[in-house]
Amino acid sequence: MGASNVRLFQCAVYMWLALYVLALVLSGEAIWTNAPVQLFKPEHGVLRYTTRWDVNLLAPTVLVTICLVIMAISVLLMRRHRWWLGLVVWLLFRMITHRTWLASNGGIQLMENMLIWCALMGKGTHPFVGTTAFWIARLQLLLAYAAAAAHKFTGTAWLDGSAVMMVANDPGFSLGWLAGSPGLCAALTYATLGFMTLFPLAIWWSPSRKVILSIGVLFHLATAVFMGIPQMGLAFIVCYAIWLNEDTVQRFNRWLKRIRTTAQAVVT
Amino acid sequence: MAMDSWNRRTAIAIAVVHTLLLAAYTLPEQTVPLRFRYWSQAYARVLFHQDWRLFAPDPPVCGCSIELLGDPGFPAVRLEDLHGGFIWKRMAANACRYAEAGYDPKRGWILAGDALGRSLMGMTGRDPRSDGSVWRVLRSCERDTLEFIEVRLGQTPR
Repeated sequence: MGASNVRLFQCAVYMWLALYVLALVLSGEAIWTNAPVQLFKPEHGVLRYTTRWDVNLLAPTVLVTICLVIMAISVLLMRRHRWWLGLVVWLLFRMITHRTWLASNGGIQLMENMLIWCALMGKGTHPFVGTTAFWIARLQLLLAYAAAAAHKFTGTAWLDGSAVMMVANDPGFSLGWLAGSPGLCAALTYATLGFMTLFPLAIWWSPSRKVILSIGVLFHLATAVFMGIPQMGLAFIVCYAIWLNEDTVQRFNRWLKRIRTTAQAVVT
Repeated sequence: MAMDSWNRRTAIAIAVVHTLLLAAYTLPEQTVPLRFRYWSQAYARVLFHQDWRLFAPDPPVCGCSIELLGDPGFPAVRLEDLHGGFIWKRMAANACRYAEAGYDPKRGWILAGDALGRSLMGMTGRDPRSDGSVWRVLRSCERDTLEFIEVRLGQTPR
């Protein structure tokens, strides 16, 4: 566990979070819907008596205020991390995702999980807690790909190569231009299945890690641009930081510094 | 603060056990023993819920869109066109898939549950029970093949 990749991961996650809640605020009042279940309401145990506290009762203005608080805390956490503030932001984010349950997707669920571990790793926590959180976050990313691939193997469309063609024919996604190329659709179907299957294996060795992370960035950027789900694609990409090694992070930080210096020189 | 190798191994073991429980929760049902699945649900459902059936086992065969028929004489409006932005588009698409799952072939219409009904009322700003508006699902299964299914409220939204 390196300090610099943890810090890059935390900054990337909080940047995603700030941008996502900003997008929610800009989407208008109609997005605040009522959730089918109460937040954190277990079916068993003493916590089942917590039913009086219902997030569905919060007014839209309160929810917008919570979004603004999340944005402010995210910026603070990008500058200086505090584990308890990270947990507060996770709790607030869960309230927001609860009231926007129809907007949920894999990316949101990934972040709902990652924010807990993101809060608990780093300098402020006990090394035992930090190490546990670090490895849970790492394995969580692999689980997402492994489970997605496993579900695809239980169907027929991903195995006979027709899955991407079916998605291309769905007017809900902007992939209609692909529908005229069945060969390309079949190739993309198998490439997607191969990528998701290989990701949890290829990540463990440095040379294959670079290749699979590069493919992953291209894959998720493509889903962000062509399928209209940037929140999901970018959620996965920011989580890649947890798998970068120290050297790569140092190079990335130097590159960022150069960009910043060049930008400042251009401005002045 | 440095950590000895015993503590480090214990931390990793905890992470592995947590991930195994989540794997039992998220992997296809037929691949996980029933008892382990039950434990994983008890562990993961409240705090660590996640679902990785992304276009799986197969992507939906038909396109799906909810339409709102408001005042008489005015054309139907698609839910995704009521507002802009990628979040709204996703909400409209997910609402349609949830509605589609409530299709009752015997009655020939879709029964929207309480949560979906309330959410659609919030999203459209209309209440079919009192203002005469109609929600319907438009399914486009093949080229030029369209199907309209009315969405009715299953329970009285609170």
